[in-house]
Amino acid sequence: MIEDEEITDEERREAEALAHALERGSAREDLPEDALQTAALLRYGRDGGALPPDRAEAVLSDVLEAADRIAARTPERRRPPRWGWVLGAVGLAAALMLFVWLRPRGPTTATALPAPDPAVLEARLAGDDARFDDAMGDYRGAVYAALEERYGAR
Amino acid sequence: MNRIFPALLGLLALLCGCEGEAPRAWVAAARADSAAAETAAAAGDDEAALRRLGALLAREVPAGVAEEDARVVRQDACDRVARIHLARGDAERAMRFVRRGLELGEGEDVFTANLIITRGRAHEASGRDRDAAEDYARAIAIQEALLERALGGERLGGEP
Repeated sequence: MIEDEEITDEERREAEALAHALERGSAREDLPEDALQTAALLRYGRDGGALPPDRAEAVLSDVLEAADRIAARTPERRRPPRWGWVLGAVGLAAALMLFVWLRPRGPTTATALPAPDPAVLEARLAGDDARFDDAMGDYRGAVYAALEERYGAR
Repeated sequence: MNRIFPALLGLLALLCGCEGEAPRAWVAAARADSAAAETAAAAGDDEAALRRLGALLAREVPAGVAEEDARVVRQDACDRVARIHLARGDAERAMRFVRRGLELGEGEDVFTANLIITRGRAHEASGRDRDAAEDYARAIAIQEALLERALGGERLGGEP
């Protein structure tokens, strides 16, 4: 005989798991592989592996409980959030903006400016500031008019 | 998604529209600053003229404005600022604006010629007569080229 003091906690747990397996026909996690085989052999030798109706009921209720627990733990399959569409749209918009801003542009040609009145530089070279200011003011106005026509500022 | 795609197409159209708006706005603002500076200078308010010309020069040239067009506008402003400083006897500050203008490039036109003449005046004011003479000679060469073009009835090249 083995003294009670010599039985370790681990052996006790295994014995309980073996008893449970024999009782229910199903193994718990703490049942070691060799004990599981022993339980299976014992059960098979006793009734050929057939489960009596009352134990089948018990096993079924265990299975259903376990299934409920698993279902409770499993998160619901979520629908894609609405903000996912918003993020997608923002990303697409950003891509469009980049396309518009970074697309290759050809060199912008200069605007055809009106020919200046020869009086402009004549007055400037002569040091006639009053005449230069008048002539340059007129020419400047014509240049801005040409630029506005080109860039549609009017 | 049925609503998103038309919205994105609208956004794209808006972006393309905005792209044309920036050059338009830049030209309009530059003209307003230039006109205000002209009025202020004519009234003897040099400080106001300098403020408006400074605002014109500080404004960033948007994409879509031809480099040559930007040069013309900014060189004109630089020359006017330089002339005001020169008239106040500050040849060094005048020279800084002349350099700033000429760094934008040199064309065979009135705007570049004006800057070169102003530089000549600044050299003259600083006693560098030889440098001044060289600048006047260059300005005269540009003037002759412009006269030839004017007699030929040509317009300065580029897009109408």
